[in-house]
Amino acid sequence: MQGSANAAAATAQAEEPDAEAVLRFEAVSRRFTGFAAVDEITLSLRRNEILTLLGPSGCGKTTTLRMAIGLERCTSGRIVHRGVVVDEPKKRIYAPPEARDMGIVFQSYAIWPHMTVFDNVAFPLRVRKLEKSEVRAKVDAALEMVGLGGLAERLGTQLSGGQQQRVAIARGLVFNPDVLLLDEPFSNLDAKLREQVRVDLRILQRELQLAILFVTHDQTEALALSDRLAIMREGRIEQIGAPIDLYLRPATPFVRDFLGHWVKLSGVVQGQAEGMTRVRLADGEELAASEGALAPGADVVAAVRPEEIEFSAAQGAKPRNVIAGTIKTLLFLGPHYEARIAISNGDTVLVHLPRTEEWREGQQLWLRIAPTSVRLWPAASAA
Amino acid sequence: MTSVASDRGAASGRLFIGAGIVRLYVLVLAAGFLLLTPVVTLIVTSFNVAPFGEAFQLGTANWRAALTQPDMIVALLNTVSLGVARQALALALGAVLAWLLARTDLPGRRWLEVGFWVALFMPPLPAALAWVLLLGGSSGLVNSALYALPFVDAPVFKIYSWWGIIWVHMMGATLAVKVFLLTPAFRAMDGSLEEAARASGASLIRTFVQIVVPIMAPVLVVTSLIGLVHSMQAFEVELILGAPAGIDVYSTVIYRAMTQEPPLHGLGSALSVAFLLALAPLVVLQQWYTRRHAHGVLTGKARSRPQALGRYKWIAFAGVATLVCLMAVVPLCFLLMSTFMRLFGIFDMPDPWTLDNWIHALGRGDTLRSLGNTLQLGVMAALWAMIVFTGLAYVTVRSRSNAARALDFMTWLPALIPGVVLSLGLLQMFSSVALFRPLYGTAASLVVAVLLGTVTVGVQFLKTSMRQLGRELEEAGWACGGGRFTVLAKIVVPLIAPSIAVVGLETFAAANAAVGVVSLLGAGDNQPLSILQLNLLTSGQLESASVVGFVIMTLTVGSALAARRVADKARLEAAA
Repeated sequence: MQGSANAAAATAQAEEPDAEAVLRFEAVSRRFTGFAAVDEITLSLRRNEILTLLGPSGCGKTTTLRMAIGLERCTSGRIVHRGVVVDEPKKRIYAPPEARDMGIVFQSYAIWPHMTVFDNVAFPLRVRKLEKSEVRAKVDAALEMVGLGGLAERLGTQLSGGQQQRVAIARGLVFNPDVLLLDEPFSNLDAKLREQVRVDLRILQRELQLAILFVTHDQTEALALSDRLAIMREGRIEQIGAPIDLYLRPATPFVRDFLGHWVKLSGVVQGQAEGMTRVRLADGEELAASEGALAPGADVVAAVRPEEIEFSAAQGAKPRNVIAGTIKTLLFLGPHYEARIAISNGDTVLVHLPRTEEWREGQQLWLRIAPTSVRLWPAASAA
Repeated sequence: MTSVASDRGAASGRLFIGAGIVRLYVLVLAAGFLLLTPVVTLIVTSFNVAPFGEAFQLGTANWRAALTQPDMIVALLNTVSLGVARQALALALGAVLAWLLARTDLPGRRWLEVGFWVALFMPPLPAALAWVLLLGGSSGLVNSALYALPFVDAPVFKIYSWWGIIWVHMMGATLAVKVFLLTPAFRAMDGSLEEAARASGASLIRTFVQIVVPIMAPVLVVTSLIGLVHSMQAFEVELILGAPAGIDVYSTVIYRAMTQEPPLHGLGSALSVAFLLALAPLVVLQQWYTRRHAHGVLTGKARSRPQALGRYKWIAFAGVATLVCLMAVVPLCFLLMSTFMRLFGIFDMPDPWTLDNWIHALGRGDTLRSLGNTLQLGVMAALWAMIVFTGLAYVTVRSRSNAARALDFMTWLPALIPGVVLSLGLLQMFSSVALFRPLYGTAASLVVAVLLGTVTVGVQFLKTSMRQLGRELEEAGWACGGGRFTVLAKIVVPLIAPSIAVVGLETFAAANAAVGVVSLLGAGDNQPLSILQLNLLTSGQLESASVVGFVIMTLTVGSALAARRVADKARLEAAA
């Protein structure tokens, strides 16, 4: 995993005005009557990073991306590209998309069906009135870069989805923009191809030191690709940071519940001892958590990532931080089992069980939870 | 795409099995008989050299006469030059208009589109009359206004001319039909194709020229070829405006051969068949091109915002609004004005205004009878169109057998035959085919003529609606034990009811305005208003013709607007 590298990078970040920023959103909104698609977001895209906007549909992520290149205009705030204001309604400044010099790859790829692959990629260069020989050289290089060297004379309609996507990337990069915008570019590819393209994009981005603003609703994709990840909700940025920080230390219940799964147990704080917070769960069992400064008596939700739970068929000698459960359903998936487990407080949780033990439906098992794995939330935050 | 096609293939087995296939062939034969008989009788008549009213006599004299007449060459050249010039102008302007209406933030684009819809149904004859009032000779309103300028001492605009004919057509259906066909196609284009060009650095205009137009090229070519075939069929405007200037086209030559005494049916038929043969390459070209470029436009679900016109916004609005005004408002207003004139187009006489035209026109027996005929014709044609076209559309959409494909081709056929030629074919059919002779000279023969004149558009329109219905809706009906007819009547028809109503209203409008297709059938007691107007015009009674024209225009535009309302309401409900 790349987690440690990301974590190191994350410690250095802050949302202050940023010397490294290529593209900056300053309190940018896009409002319609009675509704804000994007609500005063402030955001910087830095050189040589992939910044991902992640959120449910309708959260404003695509609108944000489209405002970056001017396909939509903001209604307040301002957008700054390379130190130049490109959209600021208050001062009536607006640069149309063709004046912004940013590459974009659409969800549908938007490969022009009446042109060959070469002409598609050459278009931005011809618009910029480059010499013929220069156009040829740059297009060849761009197609080589995305691995489509031999297909220059094909028509756009004669390409597979994956190839179309590569053409779209080549077209977006051929004029050397410093910003590349990607609007759900992988959603039309099958799962295998998607994994491949993800890696390729990462390599390409590192090579060219590009700043990429990436929009997706797929959290796996977002976690895997991003240097920084912004989770959006109802037009606002809920939390921004390195993927592993958001995954392990979500700042809000929305981020917590949006990324991955949690096993959630409700209880009451008993007190602090030996640097641990002791929580009495609803069914009377006790759970120690290594974090949390919640006052005794507070209602809490103890949240644990299922992959951090250890499962065993036997209870073991010192049953501390262990809760009981029963396997309700058991599906064999190959690498592991997927099990629905009823735990002693009555909740049902979905977890993966290792193949190393024999499991069967109806069997009782024990969930061992390390105190460092427990995150405590005030009960009001339970979603 | 292939999966869709094979779906349909599989479904055709489900739809027509056993006795069903027999029934399908009976339907195809019946429709084919009705659709092909006019053409066949034309061919037969063209080889009949017996004088009018005598027994059949085989010979080639008609053909020799048709092919050696020197004025035919001139008429042919006029037909082609008028057709090509109109299509070229309409294509260039139509593409820009469709793009403005479909893909930009042009102010008031919804209303402007309705304006083009009205223009599409504007009956050509009354509209031509309105333009005569404005641009006709030195008494034309615009011309006489221009005399006020010091350097003008002759009429600036000559309506009775080659350009006059082009102008009236452009301000009528020629341009409106382009807008009507192209706007939905432009709307369906994936907006990110344009946005990608803007993002690549192309300006608004460059994007239109280098991306939008080439992508839409297949649609543009097909509508031009269809339009070219249609313009070659034009009849009434050429008859009214061309005759005084000595401009003949093919259809007017045929019309004159048929209406002189005694009528030269053989020569008219030979000319018609020759004309059909001359059109054939165009039709083949259009079919070939459509098939070759069937991939059409890559459409996507990606949302797109209308392109911002920026500083061009209000200039574009002024241009389009002026055009709509010229096409839809001006003819209506000036025609109404002319109905109150003592002498058509003469303003500089004492007391030019009068109610006499209305009093005379409404006092005449044949006006009211013609109005009755027109209403009867419109209602009957509309009812039959709704029933027959629905059936034809359903069979051609849901069956993929060869018989159904043949049927599909045959519904296209009447669109390729000029109205006057079709009228002649029907006349021959009703007078010489025993089976149809009881219908000769009846109102029913006019209904058949109108139906043949509207079948292509009506069936295509219904096919589009039916294709949008999920197959599962019907399949669920069959699964529940409903027969084919039950499913059609209880599920398909109610779901596309608005489209069927639109077809009915459009047929009503077409029946009101129909001239060419009924021109040789609608005489005597069955004469509809449109033919009455044609006769008044050709005999120089312009004031009465104005009154009749205004009534036709009101009926036509009214039903066209009603159709639009029904369609829009259905679309809104579908969206909600």
